[in-house]
Amino acid sequence: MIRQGLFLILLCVAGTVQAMPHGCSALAVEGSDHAEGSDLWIFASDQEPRHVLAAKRPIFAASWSPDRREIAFSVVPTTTDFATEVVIAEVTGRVIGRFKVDRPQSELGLRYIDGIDWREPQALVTLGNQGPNGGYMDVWRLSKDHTRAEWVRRGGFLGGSCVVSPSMQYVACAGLATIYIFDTLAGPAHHNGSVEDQDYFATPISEGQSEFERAVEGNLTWDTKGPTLYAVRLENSKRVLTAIEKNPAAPEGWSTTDREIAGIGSDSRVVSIEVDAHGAVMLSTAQSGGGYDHRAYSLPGAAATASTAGLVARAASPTELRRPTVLKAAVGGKERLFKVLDSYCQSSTSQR
Amino acid sequence: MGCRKEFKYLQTALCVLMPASPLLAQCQALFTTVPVPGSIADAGATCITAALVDLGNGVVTDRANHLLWAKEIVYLSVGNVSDFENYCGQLMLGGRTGWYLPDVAQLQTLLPPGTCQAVMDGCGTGYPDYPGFNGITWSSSGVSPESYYCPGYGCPYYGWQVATGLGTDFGSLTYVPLTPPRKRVDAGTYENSASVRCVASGLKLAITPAPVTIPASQTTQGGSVLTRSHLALSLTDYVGPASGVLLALRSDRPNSDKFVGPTSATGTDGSAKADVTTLYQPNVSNIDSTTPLVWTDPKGVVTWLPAKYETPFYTTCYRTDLESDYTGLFLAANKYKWCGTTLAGRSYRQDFMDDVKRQGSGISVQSEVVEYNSKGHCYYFASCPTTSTGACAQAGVTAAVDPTVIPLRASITVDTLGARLAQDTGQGITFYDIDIYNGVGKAVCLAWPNPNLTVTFVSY
Repeated sequence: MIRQGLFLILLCVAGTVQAMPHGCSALAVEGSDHAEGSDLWIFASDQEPRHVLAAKRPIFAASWSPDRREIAFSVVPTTTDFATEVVIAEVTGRVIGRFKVDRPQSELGLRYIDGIDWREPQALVTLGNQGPNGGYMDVWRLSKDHTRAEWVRRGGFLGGSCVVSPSMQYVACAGLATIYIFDTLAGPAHHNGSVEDQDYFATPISEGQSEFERAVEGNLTWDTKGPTLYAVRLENSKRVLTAIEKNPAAPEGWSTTDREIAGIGSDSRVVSIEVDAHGAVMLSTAQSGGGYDHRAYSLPGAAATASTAGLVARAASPTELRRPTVLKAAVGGKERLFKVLDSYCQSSTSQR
Repeated sequence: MGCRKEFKYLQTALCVLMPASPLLAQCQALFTTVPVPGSIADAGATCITAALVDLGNGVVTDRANHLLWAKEIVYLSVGNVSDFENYCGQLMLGGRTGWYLPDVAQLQTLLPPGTCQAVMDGCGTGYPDYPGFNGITWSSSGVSPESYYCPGYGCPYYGWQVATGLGTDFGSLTYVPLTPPRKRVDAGTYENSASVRCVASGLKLAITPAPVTIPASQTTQGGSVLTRSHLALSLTDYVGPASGVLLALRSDRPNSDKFVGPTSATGTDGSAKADVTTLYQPNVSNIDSTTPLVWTDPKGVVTWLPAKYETPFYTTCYRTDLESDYTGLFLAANKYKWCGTTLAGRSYRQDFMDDVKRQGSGISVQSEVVEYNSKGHCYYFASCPTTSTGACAQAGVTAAVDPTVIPLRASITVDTLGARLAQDTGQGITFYDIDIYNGVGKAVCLAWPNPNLTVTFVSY
């Protein structure tokens, strides 16, 4: 549920945009996350889109509650003098609580919240941007009625486009050429509660390699079953699936495998990767340069992380993507595009 | 009657009249349609009797066939067909160039006799003894292959002629015995006529480029920015909108520019749309149409830079941290990991050092510039707050960008903030984020304005 700017690519898609798959629901906003305001909508398979609420500022992040009865979301502060906050609302749009996540940026606080993940009935995770190089992951304990939140712990991170592991222990972020994994329980907290982030795992960069030669394409995603992270990267013009798996026997605690992906055209770029409840890896692509073509692929055999054999992407129907990144729907007699901030399917655990 | 069909019919008839001709092979060849480059049939226009409108400026437009005619026939005392072609090619009439010698198919749109009488010279009753006044004008269509029309002279000296006047004398081939009477549409020499009526494309296309932009959500391609201009196309036949024409466009930079569209023909208002894009922005592009019978005026002139990003940027402020802004605990320098030698006796506030990682640089109470190396996971000292390009960060100059959206070192203009240089990057600066460096200390980022700003790409 992080803010993944690359999703914006899909907002100009004029081609195939899928509806919600059967049994799935999504929280989505209309327009880009740079728009003046946001309208939050709920999309469910076989149902008309439902408008939840209108925010005067862009909504960067939103998450369903585990029981899907409430929504947590964050809007961009108007100026640096306003603290970022998280709002809790019922799915009807009625706001039931809000809490400040940090000080305003002008007081050396966070600049904005770009990720919200409501993991357990009373556990919510936020990812906040603090500077050009990174920010903090915060864990919150919600009151039983969800009207208040108590700060539990904070872990620092570097990089952007971060994603929190299912256990809430690890946060993985994409740097320019590096994927970082921070252990937010690694050591004692600072006086301000922040866990030292100095000892983290980072994928290696070859000597002399450009920072942009191993760029992550799209988002990062954790396997729903365990601490394995997936990413698609471009390396020497080859597209590879990088799997980073927790491995106590490995020198740095994590083992990395890169497997070349065939079957995706060089004129396309991966904009999202997801792992479903059964461990199947799915990709969606758009035309390079921001293009107009949107395709879905599955990666058979990707879950076998011990293998180094190459992978062949199999073209799939966009409806096979359980968590589409963009939706097209006729609302008010007009076809409109929506960016998905969170989704869930009845048969699987929510995770983006 | 379609004039191309009539043309073929005429050839056929002539050969039938001379079945024993020793030039039978040539006659048989004439049964094939003589190609007439640039004819209205090539343009997809129906080749029908002209629907003429006098534009009052020496020019008559044919709305049926999309042709523009000179109102006057001009008698030229010059050599051969190339002289006629040169005359038309240099003609400035009706405020435009682009005139040429009509082909025989085009001339036949002025038939049957009387079609052009009301609006053109040379279309009425002339002097029967002087074919030039019977509206007999030259076409650019030569007589080929060689036939009985040109024994001893060579076909280059013969061309198709059409009499557009009301007279019935079409001259004769005085040097060729036993030839049948001349027809209204026939081959001839200068002795039959040395008159021309120039023709031009009867559709006028105005190309109006919109200000150049960088398409929404675009990323760089090979380090270059893709820029685009929407082209508004407006087609008229000099009287009103011209609909149903699928336009083709070209640029004078064919290796650099790419067209998208138009994907549909002009509408009832004569309008259509297309885009032109490029990854190579120096110079300007001049765009016109290659569609037959279309004259582009004015051409589309696209100046590629500056170009505004269509997607607004989420604009934030960053700074060089100032340790005196922080209140946390001081820890000895050896509690932090340094890339080089740790300075003995120094201490730094923990929250300051933590934020240096995320801001990129900070100034300690000892006035040292402290930076963090995210590859080596260590702190180091620098002579100034340095950027990804190696330049010192400067308020009013430096911006941090995602290089896959804005190339490093590019000159940009950020909305009301003004000119900046894309000197820096940040791991948290992704896609359409832009971070403006505003100096030292937390005060410099106070009351940052509305974060959604537009960015204009000025130069690489």
